[in-house]
Amino acid sequence: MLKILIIDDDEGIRIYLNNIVKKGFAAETCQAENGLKGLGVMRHEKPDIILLDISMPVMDGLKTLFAIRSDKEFNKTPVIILTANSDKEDIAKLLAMGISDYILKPLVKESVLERIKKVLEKTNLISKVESN
Amino acid sequence: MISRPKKILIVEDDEVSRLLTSRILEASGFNIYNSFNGDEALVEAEKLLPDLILLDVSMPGISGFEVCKILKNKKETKDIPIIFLTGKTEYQDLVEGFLVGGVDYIKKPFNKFELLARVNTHLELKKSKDKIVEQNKIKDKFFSIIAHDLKSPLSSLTSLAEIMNEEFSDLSNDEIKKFIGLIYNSSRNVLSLIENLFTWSRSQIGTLEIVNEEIEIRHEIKRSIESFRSSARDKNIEIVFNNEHDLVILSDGKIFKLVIANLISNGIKFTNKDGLIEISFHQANGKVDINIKDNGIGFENEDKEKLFKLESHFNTRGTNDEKGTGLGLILCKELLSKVGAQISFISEKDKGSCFTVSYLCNSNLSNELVNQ
Repeated sequence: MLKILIIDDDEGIRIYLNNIVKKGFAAETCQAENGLKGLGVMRHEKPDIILLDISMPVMDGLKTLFAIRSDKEFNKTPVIILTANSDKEDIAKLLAMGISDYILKPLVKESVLERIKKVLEKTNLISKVESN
Repeated sequence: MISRPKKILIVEDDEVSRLLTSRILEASGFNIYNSFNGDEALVEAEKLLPDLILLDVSMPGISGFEVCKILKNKKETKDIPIIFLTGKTEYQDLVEGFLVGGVDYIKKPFNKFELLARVNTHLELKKSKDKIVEQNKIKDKFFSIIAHDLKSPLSSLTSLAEIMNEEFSDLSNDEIKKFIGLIYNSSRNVLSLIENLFTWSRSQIGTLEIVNEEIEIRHEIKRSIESFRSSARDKNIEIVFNNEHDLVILSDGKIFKLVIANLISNGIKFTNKDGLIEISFHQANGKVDINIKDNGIGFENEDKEKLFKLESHFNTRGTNDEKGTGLGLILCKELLSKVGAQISFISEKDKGSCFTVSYLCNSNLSNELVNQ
């Protein structure tokens, strides 16, 4: 079963993403409200893919991404960024840091599922998605 | 505010003309620098970054037009206004001067008053242009931040509404109640951001009307606290406000309410669960101080500098951006300055912050204490 870690400080967004990825990919999910907690959950739950918000208190998405990429066990784990910022330079920096893709807020279900699916296909994780 | 004397670079190969021009301008309080030919002028202009350049057209070596062209192609010097000093009066020559980037020309021999009038006019124009460019930058940044900060609560709002819309019958009462609570908080965030934006834009374009009225401080603070009861309850934050007597000041009521609401809202945002916010006011030394103190996360020393600056907030956008932070404070400071009031704060990382708003007492109202 595919396991997805959702890191976002907004509870509404976590509920939403949890709801649609469970339905879309029959995935198991785990959640955290900031980057610091997210790293802890990641090490414990060992997710296949991480959805990571950028603007968060305590530890923001950039620092979290850096920590994920510095962690030997998880430096290949696909990370999809969630952001309200569509600035091309900022996005280019994130892509250079090795994110798999980014999803712009406000979130649209079809687009979220499509983007995650593409990353799953690229990384051969799609086989973990159980057909339902 | 005393402004520094303006720097003017005179580029002129003819000594008599150079001395005469220098003397006239120095007598009017300008700081004068001289170059004797085009090559020198290019070096001097870049080093000195003068406020204005008076540039002779016909000089040995590089001509004035060439010098102007080069300076206009350099980032550092392209915005310096250049006025040509010319003996040429042919139409084509004058037009060429404008084509290469000059802002004006003065025909030699010139009259002292004409020289001063043209120099002052272009310095004023430059000042206005700089101000507009700066305001435009601030506006762009503000809108960019607002757009960013609005998207997050809106995203939450539409996402939750979507789930409720599509799966209402599958949701439990508890889930529905929770979703409605989250939707309520998000929509309140959106509303207060929009209110801030409108007030700010009115203040920028000068249509914000300051209406002085009698403000009963205790009464207004109590009302504001009431409107935040629900979001404080969500984090189990206690808001303590013990002033027993009211105090009346004469100031703009809208601004007062907006500032207090922003400070309480910030207090709740940056205070952990089970935290405490204490609000109080007192009158001393001709001032009324309103304190809004929390035991929240406080600020790092390096962030303290940034709190009231739009520019620095923008630079940190997306990294330490807690939704809506900074905007409200920038607006508070700006609005308070319009009514002669001030805002200050002390803060310690992980201990909390205390924001103080100081209003001057109005002489006719300063001692008026209204028993409740």
